[in-house]
Amino acid sequence: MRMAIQAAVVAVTAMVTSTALAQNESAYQKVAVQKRKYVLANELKLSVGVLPLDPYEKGYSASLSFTRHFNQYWAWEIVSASAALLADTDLKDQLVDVFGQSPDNFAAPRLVFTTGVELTPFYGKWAFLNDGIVRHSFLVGGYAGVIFGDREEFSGGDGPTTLGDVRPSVGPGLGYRVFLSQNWSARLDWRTLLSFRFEQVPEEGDDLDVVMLINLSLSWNFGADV
Amino acid sequence: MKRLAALLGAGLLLAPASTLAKPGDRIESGRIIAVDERPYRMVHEFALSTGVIPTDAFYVGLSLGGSYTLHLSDVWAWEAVSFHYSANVSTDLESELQRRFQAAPEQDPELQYLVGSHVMFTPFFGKETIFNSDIVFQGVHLALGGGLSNFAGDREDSFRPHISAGPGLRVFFGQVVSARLDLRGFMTLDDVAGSLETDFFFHGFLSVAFNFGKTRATEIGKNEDVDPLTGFEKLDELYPRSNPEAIIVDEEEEKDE
Amino acid sequence: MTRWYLAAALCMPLALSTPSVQGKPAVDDSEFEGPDEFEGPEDDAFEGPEEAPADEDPEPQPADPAQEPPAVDAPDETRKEPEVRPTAPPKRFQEGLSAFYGDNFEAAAARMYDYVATNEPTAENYDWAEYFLGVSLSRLGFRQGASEYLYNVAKNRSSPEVLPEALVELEKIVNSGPFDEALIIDRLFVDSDFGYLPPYISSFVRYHQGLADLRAGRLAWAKRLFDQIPEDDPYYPEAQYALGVERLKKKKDPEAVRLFRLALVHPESDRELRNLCRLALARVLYEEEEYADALRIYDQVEVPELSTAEASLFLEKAWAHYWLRDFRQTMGILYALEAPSYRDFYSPEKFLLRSLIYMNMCHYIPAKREIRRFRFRFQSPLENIRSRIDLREDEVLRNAALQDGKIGRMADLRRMLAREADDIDTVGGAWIETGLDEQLRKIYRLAIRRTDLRLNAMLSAESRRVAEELVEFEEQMYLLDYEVGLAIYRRLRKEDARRETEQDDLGIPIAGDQTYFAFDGEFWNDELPTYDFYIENRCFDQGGTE
Repeated sequence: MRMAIQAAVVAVTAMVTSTALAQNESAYQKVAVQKRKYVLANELKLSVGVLPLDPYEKGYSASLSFTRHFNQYWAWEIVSASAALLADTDLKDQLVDVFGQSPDNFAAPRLVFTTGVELTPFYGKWAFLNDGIVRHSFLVGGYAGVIFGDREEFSGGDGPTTLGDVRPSVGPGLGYRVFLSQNWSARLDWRTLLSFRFEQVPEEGDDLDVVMLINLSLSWNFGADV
Repeated sequence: MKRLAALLGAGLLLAPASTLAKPGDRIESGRIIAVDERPYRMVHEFALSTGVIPTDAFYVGLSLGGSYTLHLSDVWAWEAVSFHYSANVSTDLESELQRRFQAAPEQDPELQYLVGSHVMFTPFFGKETIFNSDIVFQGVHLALGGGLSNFAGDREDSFRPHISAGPGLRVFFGQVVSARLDLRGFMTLDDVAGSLETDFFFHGFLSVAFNFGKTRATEIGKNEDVDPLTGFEKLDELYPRSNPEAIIVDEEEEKDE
Repeated sequence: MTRWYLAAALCMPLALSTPSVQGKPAVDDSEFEGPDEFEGPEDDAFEGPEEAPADEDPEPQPADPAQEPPAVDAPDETRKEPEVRPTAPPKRFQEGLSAFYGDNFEAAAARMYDYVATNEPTAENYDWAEYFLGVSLSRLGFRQGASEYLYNVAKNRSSPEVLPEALVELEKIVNSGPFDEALIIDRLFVDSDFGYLPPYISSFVRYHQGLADLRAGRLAWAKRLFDQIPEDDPYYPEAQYALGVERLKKKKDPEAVRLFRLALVHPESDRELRNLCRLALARVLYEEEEYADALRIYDQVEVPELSTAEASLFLEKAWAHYWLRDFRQTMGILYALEAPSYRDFYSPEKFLLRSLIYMNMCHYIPAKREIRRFRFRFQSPLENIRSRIDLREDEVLRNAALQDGKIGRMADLRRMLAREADDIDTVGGAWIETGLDEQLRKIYRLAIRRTDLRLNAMLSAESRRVAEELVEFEEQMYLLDYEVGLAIYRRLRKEDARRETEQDDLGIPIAGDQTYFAFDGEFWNDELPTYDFYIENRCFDQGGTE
């Protein structure tokens, strides 16, 4: 048996080794990872998050978004819709209770609709104590959209409503994704939107707000050609 | 889970590398594992840091500090001492309250500096590609420790003990230089009129770390197994006259004779 | 074990081309009825040459170089000018020279061609004009066009002062990428006596002439030529290596080992030569069954990452690990060969080795699975072989044949010719005016057809050889299948119980100088050489087979 196998080995090895040492460079030389385990295509993302708005109010948000991935780097978050549940801080309570301020003077965002472009330059893996592997990626994004302010309380009869308080917004974001499987991944996103607030009540004036959103998401990826 | 069980085992702190996990019956017809040499070894680490401490709504601390860390293994390290000074910047909330609401709330003492010591546990080590081209190596650690915080205000200047914990990410640029991003939560204890009150704040800081040394304190006396052979010794043995340099010597000897 | 390394070591650089058909270049391409008209460059995934018609003899007939026409004939015979251009005055040569030294190579080539095409070879500076035309083409990336004009200068030798300069330019072409071996080596060097050459170029010529003699079995002549190369010349270690290969071909010769080592430590050896020497020495140790030491030298061989050469090196190392019974490393290497970058690397022995490893670890079901995978993978070529189709039409066999060094170089040349032919269109103006573009088109059309003919012939023979080996392999796999079946029911004796070895320790430390990344189908290039196979040895005794 040994001899028989050796004979075959000899023949093939002799042929194989006749390959010249100086070969053309492989196209794969330019890449670090030849074939990724997970490929993203269409991403539906459900998120919960916080909006550390200002010293007076904090928001807790729920979001839904859909993203189309063009390749391993570029993606378009076609739409992201977030609704915020607002909570007063102690300071606001104090101002309302002690200093008799009207709650209407605080105008945190209530709804956020954005679209954006995302770039994922970083992709990697971590070994957990030399055992499990965590695959992840970092992304940066640019987002634009509208924010609707929290104006219901003082709308009264003639005043503006929440949907009337439209604030054009634009800003950058950072994201971190942990792949759970080909279809599921978890994401942590941090976005900062510069929001232009038009005057809604007399003497308030136009203003520029910085709205921060921190979201933890579960993403469902489908339609990838793996 | 076996990893975690191993982690919790006694003696792990001092001899982590000796702890082995038996894969057991999950190896059916084998599995492939890439065994990468770690490109960098941390030993004595000196770090310079800058960061932010959003202590409360009235001011933000901009921190400047440094630390020394002794690495006992690739997993365990002791951040023996760290010091962070906080330069406090007003958030304008006070003036806004004055302007909008004619209110002037009372302020608490402000954080001045932090001194601490931490144990660092680095369970994650990995690598990252940049545009699927270059590779950078990283480690993710958790720090747990305690120390003292100095607060100063109009009426008092006091030290408060604190415990702190949080994750951090290290990106290696080479054997000597690495960058660290740490996020730590602090819980301070304060004696207010005879009762203990707790307070929380975060400290996020970015560090540039400089690593010195090759041999760790836990490795002194251990010899590395380095194969001194190159394969050519066997050629010398099998074909004694094949070494061109040896033959030159022979020829010279012949001339002498 | 047969001395397989001989064939391998000999492939470089002795395995240059055999004498091939040299068609009449540049003009009379009507004699070539074989391949189709060239239709532009091909992409990198070269599939082989255009096929010759069935009625054409695919085997190249050795041509008598003496009977062959020059690469580029005299202008009045070679060009089919739509209109007769007036004879270019000597001023045209001067204009070309000014353009050349002004780094305007397009203009220089056009003017020099105008001078060459409209003057008799006896005209003043005719050889220099051909030389500058060749060099200008070379600078513009038209390596084949340059080769043909420089060949003319060197072959005619009508101006002794131009000859060394032409040879220097040819040396640059030979050492910098694919080149027409039949033209430059077989027709120029083998068949020419250049007389006295200055030292800076004589070694290059002597070396290639010596190689040609070695190929032809004229060892004494080769040695005489090699002896004329000074010891401090870069071609000296190359010649020593070639002599080493020749000596090894005949018998296991300590002198061959000495020559390899001499070439290896020579200060003028370049990286590629040093690697060839290391590879040859590693194979010598492998042949001596000194596998651990062979591996130490294999590890010193540097090859381009992810190339077929690296895959080939991996496979040799896998065999060395296998004979050391280091099955974990062997399997690790075999998994690395599954990376997409090595997908085109033909190696049916991967399946054999994997099956053998599983058998040695007493994992009989996986061992049989590998045999099934072999049959599944090579079902199509094996069926094609049995149905006696033209073996060149089988993709697997064709790609395997193209892995051969010599055919590979020929395929590289074919790709280069196609690319350069296409590049002619990017240059217009004076080239069209003087007819240089049309002349180059003819040169390339002819070179492509010659190359296609040779490739077809070589591919035919090589595909046949690959097919024979594959059939032989299939028989071995059947035999192995039978052996696995026997091993399953092998009787075990208590006294044969084996002792555990280091390889039985499948533990992974949670920390240390290594990081362990479990492989799950994602290929990171930096990890390919580091794969380790974790498998439980289920054998009660030593198990498996050697």
